[in-house]
Amino acid sequence: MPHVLCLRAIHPDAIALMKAAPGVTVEVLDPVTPEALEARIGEADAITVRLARIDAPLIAKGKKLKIVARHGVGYDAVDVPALTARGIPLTITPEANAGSVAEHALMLMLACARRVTGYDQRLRELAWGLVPDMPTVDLAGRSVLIIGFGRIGTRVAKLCSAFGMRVSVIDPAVPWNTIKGLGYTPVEDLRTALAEADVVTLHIPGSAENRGIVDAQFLGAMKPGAMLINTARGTLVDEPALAGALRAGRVSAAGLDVFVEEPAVATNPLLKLPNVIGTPHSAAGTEEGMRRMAMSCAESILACFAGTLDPHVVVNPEVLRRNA
Amino acid sequence: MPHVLLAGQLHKAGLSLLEARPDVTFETLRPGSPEFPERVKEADAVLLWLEPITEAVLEATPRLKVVARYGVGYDTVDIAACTRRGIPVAVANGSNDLSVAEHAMMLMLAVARRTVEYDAKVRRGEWRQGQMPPMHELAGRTVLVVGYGRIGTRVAKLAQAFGMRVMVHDPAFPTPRIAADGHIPAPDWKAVLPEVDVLTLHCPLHPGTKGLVNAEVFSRMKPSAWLINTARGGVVDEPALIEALKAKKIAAAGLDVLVVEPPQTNHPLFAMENVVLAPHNAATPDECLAKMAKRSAQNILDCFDGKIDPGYLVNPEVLRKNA
Repeated sequence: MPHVLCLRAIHPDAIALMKAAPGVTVEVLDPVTPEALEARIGEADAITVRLARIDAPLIAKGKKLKIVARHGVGYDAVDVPALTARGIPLTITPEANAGSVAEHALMLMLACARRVTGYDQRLRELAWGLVPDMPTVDLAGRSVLIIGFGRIGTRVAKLCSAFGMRVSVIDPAVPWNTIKGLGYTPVEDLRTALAEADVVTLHIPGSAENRGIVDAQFLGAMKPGAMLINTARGTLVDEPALAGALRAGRVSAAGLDVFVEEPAVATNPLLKLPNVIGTPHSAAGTEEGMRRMAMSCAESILACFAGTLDPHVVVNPEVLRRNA
Repeated sequence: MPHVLLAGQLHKAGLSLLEARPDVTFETLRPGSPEFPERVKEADAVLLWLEPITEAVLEATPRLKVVARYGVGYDTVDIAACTRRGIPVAVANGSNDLSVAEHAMMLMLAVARRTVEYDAKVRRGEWRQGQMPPMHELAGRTVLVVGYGRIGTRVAKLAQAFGMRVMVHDPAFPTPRIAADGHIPAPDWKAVLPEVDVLTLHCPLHPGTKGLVNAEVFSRMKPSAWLINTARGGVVDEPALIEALKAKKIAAAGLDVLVVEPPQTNHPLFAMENVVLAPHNAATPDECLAKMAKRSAQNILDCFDGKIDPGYLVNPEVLRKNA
């Protein structure tokens, strides 16, 4: 009888869907301590993973494990080779959170453009009117550079375009004509594009080769006074370098949903700056997005049990061929 | 030589138009200056920020020929009194609608994500501990746009781009045109309130819209709904709003405007976490200030030159009367 172990609860509709499947049992582990995980992983045919680290020793203890379903799209905390070696598929929830994250990126862009947190606070302290160190700008007519043109980047491009922004896109994996055909400007040279963009927004995975790409050199190549938006991964950014650029006004404002160390600590120098708007890695955390992610996990798990898993949601699809 | 009184610091884009006219003199006061009542007596034209023009002011200013607003609202001006005297009242139409529409979308998204609350939590090092205010997508939600003028039309289009279901109410706008723009006309806007997730206001403040959004409106709204106001504070019955937020008749509000501006101490809204506030700064991006300054300076000069486009006047009938 297949047993599903949820590492922290997921949306009740998804738990109900799995429980309704014949013979499937569901257990929610919360809090997810290493001890609790070790004690229960041996019983699980499937696990749903929110933020827990899934490493090789843990995978080795999951003797019955047939699928790991990530509630989200990032899998930097999962040891994929260890799963692949055991023939265990790792699924993600590809389309479930893209819309939520894209809206969050636009929220951060607009919130930085209007300095909403700063002016909200000033007003509550009864300070009326504008201050020169919190200038406000329109998005219309400004240029945005979208780094990464996947599920989220494409949606952000469309929204920016609706605001009348000029949209440039850099993504070596996407043919130029695809980008051109959608009405955007494909970019070859990152440095040249950075010098022209009023807003730079990151939509690439937090892989090893992308680590720290937003470093002092990148920031130095940006147009003076441009804004940086990061809803991708904190590790993409050299945080001390960004803090320096923000203090110097080289970068006028940053909207950050992600940090190198999460949960972010109050001593993070970025969180002391008035020209930063920070959110707790919550871009995908809307009620609508959470439900879609949970449903996608449940559907993947049930499909895996039935032998009908869609390879498009699988990070390591080679295991499906091998398992067949 | 005609003299212009600028009741606030005009953006240089507008000043340069006045400077280019050797036949016109002008002076600048700081906003809220106590000298205003005296200085306006010397003026042929006045450019207003939030200074009121009442019957009494007009009585004391026989020279005044042109009243211009730096902005598009005119609730601070006694229009009827100006019209009786044949004084055109000009507004800077078309110069700030884009900025205000973006600001409305900003407030909508900031309410959707509880940005101010989460930013404060993150800065305190609390991350996701404790109470997690709910976060929502705009996609799939129903927005009711009240007022389908220059700002409302833009907001409707942006909301549509986010995948919202857009309803529009404007008694001055033919419903077939609203439908042709791809929106749902709501001639009886109070009847659709039970299905509205976001109510956003884009109508002027006048006696017909004063306190339009009142306790009855809040009682018809969903407990999960949000109010966005970038129009005028007076369009909303503020005590009713405070009560509705406290009693959870609606979930949250994004407000760029208040009934009394600048606000008085200890405004009850300032203690509320489910409110995002802005100091009436929807139209303050530099490019917007430049456009408004150019338009309002040009309006004054065009009135002097007898070639004002009636489209910029609140009371175009004075042109026929003056002709």
